[in-house]
Amino acid sequence: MGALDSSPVTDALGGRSDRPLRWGISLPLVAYVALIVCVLTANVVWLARPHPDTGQSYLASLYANDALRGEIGYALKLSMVSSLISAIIATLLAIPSAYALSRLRVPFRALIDTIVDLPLVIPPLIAGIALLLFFRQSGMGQWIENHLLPVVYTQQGIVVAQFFIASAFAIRAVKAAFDQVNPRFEAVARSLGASGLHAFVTISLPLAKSGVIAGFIMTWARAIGEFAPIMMVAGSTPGKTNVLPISAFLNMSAGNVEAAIAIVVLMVAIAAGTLVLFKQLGGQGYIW
Amino acid sequence: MIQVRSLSIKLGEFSLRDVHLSVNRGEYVVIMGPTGSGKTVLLECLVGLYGAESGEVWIGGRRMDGEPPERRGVAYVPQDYCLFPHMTLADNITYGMRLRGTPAEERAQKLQMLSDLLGIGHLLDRRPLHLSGGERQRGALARALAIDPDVLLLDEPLSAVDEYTRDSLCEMLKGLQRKLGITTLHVSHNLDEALAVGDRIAVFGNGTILQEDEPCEVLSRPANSFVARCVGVSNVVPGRGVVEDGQRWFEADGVRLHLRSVPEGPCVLIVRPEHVRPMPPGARDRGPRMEAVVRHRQERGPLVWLDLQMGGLSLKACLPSGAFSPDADSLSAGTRVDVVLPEHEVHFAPN
Repeated sequence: MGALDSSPVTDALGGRSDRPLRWGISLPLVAYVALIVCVLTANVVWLARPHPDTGQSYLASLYANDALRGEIGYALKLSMVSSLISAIIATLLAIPSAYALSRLRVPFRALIDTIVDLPLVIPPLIAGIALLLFFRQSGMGQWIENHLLPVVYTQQGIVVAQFFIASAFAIRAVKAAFDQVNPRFEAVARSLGASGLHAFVTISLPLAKSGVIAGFIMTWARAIGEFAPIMMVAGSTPGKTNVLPISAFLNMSAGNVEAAIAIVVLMVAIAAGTLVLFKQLGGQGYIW
Repeated sequence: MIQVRSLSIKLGEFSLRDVHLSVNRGEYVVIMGPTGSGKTVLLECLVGLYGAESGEVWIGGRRMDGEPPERRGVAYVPQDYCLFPHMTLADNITYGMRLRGTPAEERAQKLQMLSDLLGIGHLLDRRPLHLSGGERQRGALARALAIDPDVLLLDEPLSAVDEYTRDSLCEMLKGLQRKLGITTLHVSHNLDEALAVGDRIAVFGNGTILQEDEPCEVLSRPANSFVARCVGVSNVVPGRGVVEDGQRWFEADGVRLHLRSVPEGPCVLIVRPEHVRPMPPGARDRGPRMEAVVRHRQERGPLVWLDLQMGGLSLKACLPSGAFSPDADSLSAGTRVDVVLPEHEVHFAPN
């Protein structure tokens, strides 16, 4: 594992007499890890078993199905593009916001901090309904719909729904990164002649870099996995707004279990890759 | 060069009130005070990190309160040095010069000059993580000096180094300051350090500057009991001055001392332990004397510390140990002695 083991672990229960206690404590952990691994492998094994008609594996027969391949391919592309856009916007917004929360004496700071956390705590479906109501029924939302950007039941709606929730993630993660940087570094830089902006760009931002990148990755992971708010705001039109999770849901509802499971495996792979990347970049467990 | 007038700041648990300080061009002033007394806040206020509630800060004849740090011409070396961890030592040192657009050739010369001066030439390619405490300290100093500052502000620059290194770094700091003629303000809680480098000492306590003077003046004539304790005067005795038949007496804890310089009314008697002279009864010495008993004796290398009890009053005395002074050997615990307080070494301050 090497690089994944970021913190050294001291064994508090190293003695022979501690052995029963050791097992007692470790058992729930082992059981939970086993559960996760079993659930995920069951999906892969299920896809790999031979199809009774063709003799090929389910995965291979799925791949041979052009229509299905096209649909999943489209969903993957749409998911990738929309989540990247929303993660980039969210991170760009998060850098100044998180810096302000971390460094500046903002009025009503505790209140703002709580409001920023709200999208993380509100159930996603509820956030989606709230967003839909905002764009359809409120004056401001309607104005945005009519004059700025049509959102409801459009592809832009996907990005808006992802952005609404992912931004909170980005701000949390980037703030944690800035919190780690000693504010005196900037103070020294300024005494040496740097303007506030220059000190930020040459000192604080580079020092928070890996935290910001890790934050971006987790933001993106959250965005790509978003389902309910997208369903509410952008709808679930195949060929238009069916991102991967929606595609999985539509296939599952229509009885195309194989296709749904293929998406499951794809998304698990994406999530695992993201986590490895996140930990490689020194990300801490502050996201969840 | 630096003028602080009636400066007041409120910052969380720290508050500075009515701080007055003046540092002349080319002078080395040490701000001394106990840990956690807000000395750093004062320094960072001069750097420009905090705005003052009231009062004025003048640096080099220009009013600076309200100016951002980058316009103050003040180089700051914080206690933890704060070398930028993502840059090599060389890049750290030239950071300020690069901001000023100093030509590369001039930068290289200056880097060479400073690294030679501070003996860090072999470390320039290293990142701060791979430097020792003393090396970081010199690196941070080089970075500060590289911008030719009008004023150098050092926050506890020697607190992270061991005592042995401290002596040599003190000499280096003082020598460097003399050589470059930089007006320097140095914050410290260590008396030895303050005495080794300071042209003048400002004693800081209760959020303000209590006394600002030359080291020997602060040592021998502390302005009040707080300053006295801060500069290692352990004998601070509250009492009152009384005038009777034209004679002046100091009264405390039932003991009466005939001291001509005592002011009338409540006051504190301040005398350095090295000026308290215990001697065998009957020995001749000038000055008011009184009978005392040695309560406790402690050897500390070349010095002997004695707790002397006279009535309800106790004083500490410090004298060279037996090897250096034959008298000291005879002063064991329980011995009766005469204590002489030389009149000119006793100082009174308002209570």
